[in-house]
Amino acid sequence: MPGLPYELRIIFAEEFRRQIRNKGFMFFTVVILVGMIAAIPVTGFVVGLFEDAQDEAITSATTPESTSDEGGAEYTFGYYDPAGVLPDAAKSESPIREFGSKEEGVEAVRSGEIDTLFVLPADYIESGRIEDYWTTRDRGPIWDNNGDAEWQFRAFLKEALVYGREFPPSVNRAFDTGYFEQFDVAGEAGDDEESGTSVAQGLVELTALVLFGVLLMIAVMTGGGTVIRSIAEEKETRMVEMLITSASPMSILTGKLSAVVLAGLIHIAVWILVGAFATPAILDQLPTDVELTISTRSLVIVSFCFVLGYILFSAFSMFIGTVVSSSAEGQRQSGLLSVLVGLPVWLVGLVVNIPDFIVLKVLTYIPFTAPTMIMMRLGGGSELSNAEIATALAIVALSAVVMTWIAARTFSVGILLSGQSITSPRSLVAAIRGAE
Amino acid sequence: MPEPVLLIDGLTKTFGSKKVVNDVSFDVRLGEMFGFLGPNGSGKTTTIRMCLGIIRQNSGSIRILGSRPEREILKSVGYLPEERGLTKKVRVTEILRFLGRLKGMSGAAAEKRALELLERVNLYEHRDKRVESLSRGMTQFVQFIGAIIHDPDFIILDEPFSGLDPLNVELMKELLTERQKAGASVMFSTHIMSDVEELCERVALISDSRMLLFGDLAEIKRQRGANSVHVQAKGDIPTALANARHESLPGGVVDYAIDDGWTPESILRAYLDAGIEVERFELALPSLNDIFVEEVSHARAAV
Repeated sequence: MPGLPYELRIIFAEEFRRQIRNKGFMFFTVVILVGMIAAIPVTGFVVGLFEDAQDEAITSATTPESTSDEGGAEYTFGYYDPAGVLPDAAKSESPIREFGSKEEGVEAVRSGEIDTLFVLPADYIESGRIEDYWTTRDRGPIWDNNGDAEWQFRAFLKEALVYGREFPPSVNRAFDTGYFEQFDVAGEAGDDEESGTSVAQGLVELTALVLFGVLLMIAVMTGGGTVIRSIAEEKETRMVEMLITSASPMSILTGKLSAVVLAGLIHIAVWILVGAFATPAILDQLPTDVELTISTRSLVIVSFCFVLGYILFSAFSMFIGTVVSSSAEGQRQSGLLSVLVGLPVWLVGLVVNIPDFIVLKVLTYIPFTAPTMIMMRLGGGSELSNAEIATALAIVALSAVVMTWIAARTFSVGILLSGQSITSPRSLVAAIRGAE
Repeated sequence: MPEPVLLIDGLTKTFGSKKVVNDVSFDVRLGEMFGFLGPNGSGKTTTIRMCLGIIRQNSGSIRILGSRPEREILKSVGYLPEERGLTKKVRVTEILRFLGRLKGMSGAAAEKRALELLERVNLYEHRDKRVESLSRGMTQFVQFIGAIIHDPDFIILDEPFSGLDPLNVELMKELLTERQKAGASVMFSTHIMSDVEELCERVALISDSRMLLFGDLAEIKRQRGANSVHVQAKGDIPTALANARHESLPGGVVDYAIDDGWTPESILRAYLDAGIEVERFELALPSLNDIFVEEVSHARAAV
């Protein structure tokens, strides 16, 4: 780093070494890294379980031996095909029990062996009529159960009636008419935007941007907490008096700030790299066609939010370190960081429903909440303009510079106050003005 | 005469409405070991901090190694603050390497010198331990090494002996004497007078922010004059001196107070008149401790 003061480089190197060897840094880097990688097989496993459970539910519902629904009432069904419309191969592959006569099936219903008997009469193909034999005895929510049975029997019939035959895709589509992908077109009439946003796609983007907010929170709490303790401990042990004979308060704090920011960026770079690899693999396992695509504009804004937000919170951490009396007090005060950076995350419900709500707009211009709030409002579909974002980020950047300057002022005074905090507004103002 | 390594003149510092250093002036000469004395809260630490540019004086001037206390000059100064401690989670050689580099050394040179000094203070085997696992005395020595790792021209120590056991006090004195012999100037603050009498030729004494004494220690004692005589003789106390205020000291020495009309001459004559052979007769100068107590008491009584 040629051009930078020698002392600043030395302090930067030392602080960076302490940051990356900090247990919190290593823990969160490794845990999130492992968590993301582990999410790939876990998602597949969970989705597999879910699909198996669905299959099992259908299978169980159509065999006499088992199952129950959420209400706890067991229901089973069978069928009798006097019309002879179902191919033998389709019957033999199905787990649904076939009865040889209507009487046999009805007797099974009466005896409670099954709940419902479906009979396909001779005119089934022409009329579409299916006879449905059941009993009201001890059945609880029988209507719902019977409805499920009918739905499942229809699905069986659809497959069995065309078993082994080839059809054009359009006919196949007639059997499976597809699923509904929803689009939100809440924008102004005449917008040049494309036809709308896929709701599922939007949900993924919101989740990704909220996740960025959470990652910022974790990174701030880890790096910020370390720098608070570091400065408070150096003050407490008088180590800082040795440092300050070799480097100016501004060099000491700028060196520490640079180190914390670099460590934080490494943190997030590792997470993003692993996320970029893991997220598509995770989404592939989900039964949807959703992909993780964040627009270039969003990515640029998120990067600025993250870096500027991280610098601001690191500067604020340094400030806390300079005004507390001990590393123990610093530890307690570091909780303030999580409150400030986490506030927007708590409002995620509001962001999803009303991303341009006035409170959220105000929080967008408050330095400590702005970075996370911008990211989340973007994810929530807010129509934040570039000018609004630039203004909010400029406020964050300016606040970071001011906060570093204030920290340097309070640092110069704070080192003289062994065991004392600069907590009252009066003493704080005096410290900022350079009074000793 | 070469320029003093430290020259302060009319130094004054006020915190709020309270003057904590009031018109203090003294100098530390090249190559000397200087004692900066004063009771707790007298303003020693504030004076030292001003000398090192940690805080700014309200008035007065400071020249350290021929210049104002700027960081470039302060790289040739070693400083051990009062209320010592080090970053707890860091290993001994790491923290010493860091402090050496801050003073302009290369990493390798700082590490090499750190190991040499750790060996010198019998802490070599603790070189890879974290600071938090060391005893208080050990930590104090590690920080002392941090202050002298770059072989500074001028060493300033704030209460260097406090908290050390007698063996370690002796070791610290040895190290300071070694540094002095190697050409460094040393100034240390203390309120333990015996250390100063043993190590320093010149002293400054402040109390309640004001300068009380400054100069050559022997000269200060001579100026105070003798207030007793020590007599070692081959016989008992002469009957003529039975009413003189006296105290028996170890080794058969008797201390006679010079008061109530008794003078050194009349005491010696009483022995000679009694025919008692006198083996040793000397004027007893006041101890630094006596001077300290007397000066501080007078100053406080005058306020």
